[in-house]
Amino acid sequence: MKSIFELSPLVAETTVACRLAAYGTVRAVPASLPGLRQMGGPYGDPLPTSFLKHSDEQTVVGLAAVFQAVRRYGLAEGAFSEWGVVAGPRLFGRLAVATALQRFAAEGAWGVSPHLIPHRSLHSLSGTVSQALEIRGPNFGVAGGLESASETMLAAAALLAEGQVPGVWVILTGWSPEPHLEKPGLPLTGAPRPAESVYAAVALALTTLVSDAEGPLLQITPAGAGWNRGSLLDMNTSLPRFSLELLQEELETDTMISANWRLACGGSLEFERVESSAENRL
Amino acid sequence: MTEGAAAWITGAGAVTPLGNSYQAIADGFLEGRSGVRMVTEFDVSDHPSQIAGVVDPIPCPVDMDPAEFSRLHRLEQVILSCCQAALRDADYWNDRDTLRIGLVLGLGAEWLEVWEADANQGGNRVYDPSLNANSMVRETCRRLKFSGPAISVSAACASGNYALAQARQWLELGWADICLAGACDMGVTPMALAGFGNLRALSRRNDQPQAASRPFDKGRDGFVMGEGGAVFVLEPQARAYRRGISAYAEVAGFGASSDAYNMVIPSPDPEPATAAMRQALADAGIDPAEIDYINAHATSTPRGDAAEAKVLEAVLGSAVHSVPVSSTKSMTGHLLTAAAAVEALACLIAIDRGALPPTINLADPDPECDLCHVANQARSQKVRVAVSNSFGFGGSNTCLVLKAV
Repeated sequence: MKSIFELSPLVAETTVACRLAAYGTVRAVPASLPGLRQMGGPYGDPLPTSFLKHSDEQTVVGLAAVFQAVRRYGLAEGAFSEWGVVAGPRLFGRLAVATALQRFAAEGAWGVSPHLIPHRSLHSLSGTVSQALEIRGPNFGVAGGLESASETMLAAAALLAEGQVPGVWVILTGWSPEPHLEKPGLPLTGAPRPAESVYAAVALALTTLVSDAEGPLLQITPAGAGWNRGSLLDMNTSLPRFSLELLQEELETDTMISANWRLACGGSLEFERVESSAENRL
Repeated sequence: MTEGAAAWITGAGAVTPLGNSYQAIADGFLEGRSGVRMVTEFDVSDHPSQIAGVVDPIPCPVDMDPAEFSRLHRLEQVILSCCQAALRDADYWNDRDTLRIGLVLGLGAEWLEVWEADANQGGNRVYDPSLNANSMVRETCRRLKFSGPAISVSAACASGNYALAQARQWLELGWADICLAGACDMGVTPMALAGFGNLRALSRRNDQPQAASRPFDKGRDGFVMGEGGAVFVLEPQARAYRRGISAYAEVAGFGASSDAYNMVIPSPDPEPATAAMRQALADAGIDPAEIDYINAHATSTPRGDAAEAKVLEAVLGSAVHSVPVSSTKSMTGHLLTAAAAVEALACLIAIDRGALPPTINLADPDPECDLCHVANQARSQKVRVAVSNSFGFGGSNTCLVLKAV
């Protein structure tokens, strides 16, 4: 496939720079999930029947964020068929696993759903996005813990820098805030319950740099790397820690000019919006 | 990869159903020994599949308190054991706090396994998010004093190949001086054994554990679960040269693609997996006829093995009947997230020992898998180029090329 972008040299030895070609953000209350599971594809076509029936809630909102980005930016069908998909869900499958554990305790081995592993493993979100959009490039999940967002950006940057794919879909998802699940006999902490939380998702379409590209610039620099080791480590201590919530907030605020975050896995992420609205450029 | 910056593997550490040292694992592979047995660690009387490749007690790393080690989750034990063994093997253990050591680990079911084990002990980690602050990768960095970037990745059974590819790229970008990469999975748990069993993915040959994993054989009826892990030290060629240390191999090529077909079932169209293999060979600058050994993904499922055979036919062309192929899952079972890493180790052993590990239990080769099998017994052969295929749930296809150095 001929990409609309071309690879350009990295801006610095240890920094991966890329463009944010499109993005989508979703916040969904739990009650809206059944409806989202029935959503159609981004080009007006329906998804296969029951496609999302067994998917984790984070998979559903992550895919919805990708679809939103495709629609909002009018990305052509097949334009990213060779892209990579890198997904960083947070405490993925927690609700389903809690339910499965209770059912296993009550019913034994035959009570475990055969859909549990295919749809609640770390790769499940990226695999579902790949299947839904017929993306044939690499797909994988990253981290799965509370710091998934940072690790996912690092992995995506490395994949993009490798030069084998013209672009990468990055999908970050999680409960926001993380709720305390109910268990008979377990006293609840001050954390919210599931009904008081929302499912959050951000989808980023990242591409390599070209001279005439417009739109926000992302620069990802790991800590302790090469020439900027000392200064970066010093700088990192004063930066806010990158998270799904911070990114979502910034993307949904048109006035944002730039932001600089600390990556929990080491390094920094710089976001520079070079024009007021990315929607104008595609 | 720029000249002098090729990524060499200079250390390896592993925990497998065949043993917990390089020597034991190499001997096990080349003797054609099965590590599969009845699961006795928990009650399996209600499980459709009751067998697995289970590891022996995991060695406690030197410098670590055995009592503290015994309290860790088994997955964390495997990670620490593999990382330390790999660093010691590469002669980096005592220098680890002076280097920028990166860490890329394939961990596909970390949270599922942690939550299940915790619940079995009466814990509440799955319910209370505040009890899940640190991932195993972060804990590993803390315990072993690593200062470089660290992540975990998962592409199901292809995770280990992705980890090695990421690590190679990190070295290329200068993100770390050396990088530990591999994958670990302690997936033989009550719920996972039940889940895969109910998915009808597992062999039910419970009365013949050691004969149950039989890739490419007409009598295959599903895969056998396994557990363990393998971690490698990757470093730039120039650095290894300067240290004067021997290397197992170069990570010479990597290719990846997605089926975009089904979350569980491999695509009947061989094209996506074929593309991954071709990409890896091109990345390594290797022609198919130059391959000395292929460690197939072949898990012993009826559909998957035949699908991979089609891929190999498409990629190898006329060489399909001369390039030796085996599946070491016949001996270890399928280590799931850790499979690709352990099978990369099998390739290193083939290069190191000049011998090809066999597919055991290959009594009646399936005509749909008409390949140049290394059947039942190891074969002496010099190996310069070894290729390892790893495919996974979610439609992942990966191929790794390892070259002798």
